[in-house]
Amino acid sequence: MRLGSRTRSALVTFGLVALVDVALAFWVAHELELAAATGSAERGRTVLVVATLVVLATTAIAMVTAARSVSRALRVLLAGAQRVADDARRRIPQADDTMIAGLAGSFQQIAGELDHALRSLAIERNRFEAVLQTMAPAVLALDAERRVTTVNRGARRLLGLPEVVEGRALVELVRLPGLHALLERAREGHTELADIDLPGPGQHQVLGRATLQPDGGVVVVLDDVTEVRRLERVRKDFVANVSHELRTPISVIKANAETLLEGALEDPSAARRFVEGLYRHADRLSRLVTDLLDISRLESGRRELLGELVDLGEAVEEVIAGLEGEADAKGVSLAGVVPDGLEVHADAKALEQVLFNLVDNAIKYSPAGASVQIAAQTAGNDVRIEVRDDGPGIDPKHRVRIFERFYRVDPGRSREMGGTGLGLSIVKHLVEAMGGEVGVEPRRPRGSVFWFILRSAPPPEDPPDDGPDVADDDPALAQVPSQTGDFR
Amino acid sequence: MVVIRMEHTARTYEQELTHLRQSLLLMAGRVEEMISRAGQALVDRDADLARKTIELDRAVNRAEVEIDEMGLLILAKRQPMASDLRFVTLVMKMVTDLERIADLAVNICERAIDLVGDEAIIVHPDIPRMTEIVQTMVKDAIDALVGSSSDKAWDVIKRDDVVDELYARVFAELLAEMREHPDRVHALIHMQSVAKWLERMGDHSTNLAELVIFMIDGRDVRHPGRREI
Repeated sequence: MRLGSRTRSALVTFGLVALVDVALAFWVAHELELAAATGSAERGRTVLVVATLVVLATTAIAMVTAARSVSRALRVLLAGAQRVADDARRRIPQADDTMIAGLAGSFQQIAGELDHALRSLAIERNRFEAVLQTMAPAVLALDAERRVTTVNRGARRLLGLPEVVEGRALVELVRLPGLHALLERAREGHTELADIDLPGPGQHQVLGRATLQPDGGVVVVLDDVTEVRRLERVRKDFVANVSHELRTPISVIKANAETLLEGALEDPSAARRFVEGLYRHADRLSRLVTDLLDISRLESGRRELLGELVDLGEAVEEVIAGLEGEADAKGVSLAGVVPDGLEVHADAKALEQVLFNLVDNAIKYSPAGASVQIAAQTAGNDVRIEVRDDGPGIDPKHRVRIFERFYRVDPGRSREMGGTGLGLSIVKHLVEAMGGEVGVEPRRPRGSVFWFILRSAPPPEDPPDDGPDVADDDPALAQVPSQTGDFR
Repeated sequence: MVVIRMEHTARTYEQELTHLRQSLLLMAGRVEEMISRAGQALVDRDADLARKTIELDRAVNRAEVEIDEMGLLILAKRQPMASDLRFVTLVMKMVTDLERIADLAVNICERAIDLVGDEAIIVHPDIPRMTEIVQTMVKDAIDALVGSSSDKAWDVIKRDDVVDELYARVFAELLAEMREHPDRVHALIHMQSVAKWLERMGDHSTNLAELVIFMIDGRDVRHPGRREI
């Protein structure tokens, strides 16, 4: 059994004190006998006082020694424990007392396990944090009092949360009634998905689910489904519209052919009318198929567009010349105002098609006596080309969808005018393929402005024609597919 | 024993104020949503959405009554002082403006239902913009209260001028169109009413912002002559 030096010295001290006390006892007994024999009460008292003082002194010495021995070991342990509390990886110094050394050993083991647990917890936490922050859906964790404990980046983005959110009541940060209703239902144990509308620009639609946690808190996951819903609607409408657009001319052709076969062929005046009907609808069908193929080629990237500098004024003149007849017939005046020598980086044919479709549309929807203007202005590297009409204008309801395939503001009327319902969709595809943007806005006091933006020069990231070396050296440039500035 | 009771009292008083504040925030959230939906229902001529939005008004009315009662109870029982007193009276005034805004949103929804099927009438292009501005005005006035930011509240007051200008323009343009197309007067008058209600919503949002400034700075800025320009 190993004893610490302090403990050893304490034991030695105890031994000495015991010896002194035993010797004292013998001396006191002897002196008291003498005092009794001599009858000196004075002597007896003195002996007792001296003995008491000696016992007190030796006991005090023994106690101090013992206390110092134990308290030092405890001090060491305490300091070690304190350091463990501060930093779990610190080791506790060896204590030199057996019992206390045992305690210190256990402590050390606990410290080691604690350290290990903390480390794996930190790893786990980092992993959790990485997953949480990089996932697209918004995640919010709330405590039982509806205060925010954790949010991810998705939630900050979707809900526009301020910098500091932890510990704040959710209602102070987000007031969406749908979200609070979701939390209410979660409190009652319901976890089904719910639609939540985000008011304001964009009209975001969100799908949310909230789950109650054992501690009374709630975890909410929100998924932004605005784009998915929009695409669903576009696809559904497209399928319905395309079948309608194709079926109408086909059934007319079939009916006319049947009527002719059943005898109308023999009556020359009626036959002509039916054959004209056949021709008109076959022509419509053919234009429809051409337009559909155009879009499909553009979408699949099979129609390659050139990137060259095109004189905008010339293109506008060309289009006006082509449509003058139609405009005159309707009593609509046509004018183009383009600065001399203004060039855009485009595919000449595509540019003409875009202008043609937009101007043709404007003429079709303008009342007699109205005017259609084509104007262009530059802003930095961009050229904004506008086709303005003073027709009835476009309802805000349709403005966002008007470039969709077969989307018609007024289905009966536009079909009557011979449109395929694809003109604007082709415009959008062509402009975007040339790296531009397209849109429509209301005109004051009435009418619409269809605009598109193209660049006045090739985009700067296009490498020079003789630049394969540069492209080889620079991985970013090597990504650029085209070396000639064409649109692919 | 007395000390414990006092602490308890103080805690429920705090809770009452927090509850009052959070009820106001939830009510404001409903009103913001109603404005946005009313605008959407009008643009899309969506009668279904309009009806659902009108239903939300009941919750707003209920909230107004509850918050008013809560405020009165706090005034009677706790006799709040200084900023607490300002806060309670402010909340009681704000709910009135919020409730009026919700009523105006209901009016817009009713017009949206009337206009369903009338595809010939074009929603004036400035109306969606006015709706959006008014909705963010309410949102920012409440955000100003949450963040104790009088700057934000002042910004709301400034934006009311934009709404007023838009209203004047819409009014003039609709009037011109009525002269040109007397056959469409009925629908155009509906459209004009909608613009007017949006303009009124802007005024109520301005009231909200003024009350928030009073709460934060302790200054009454309700009448233009008293504002610092």
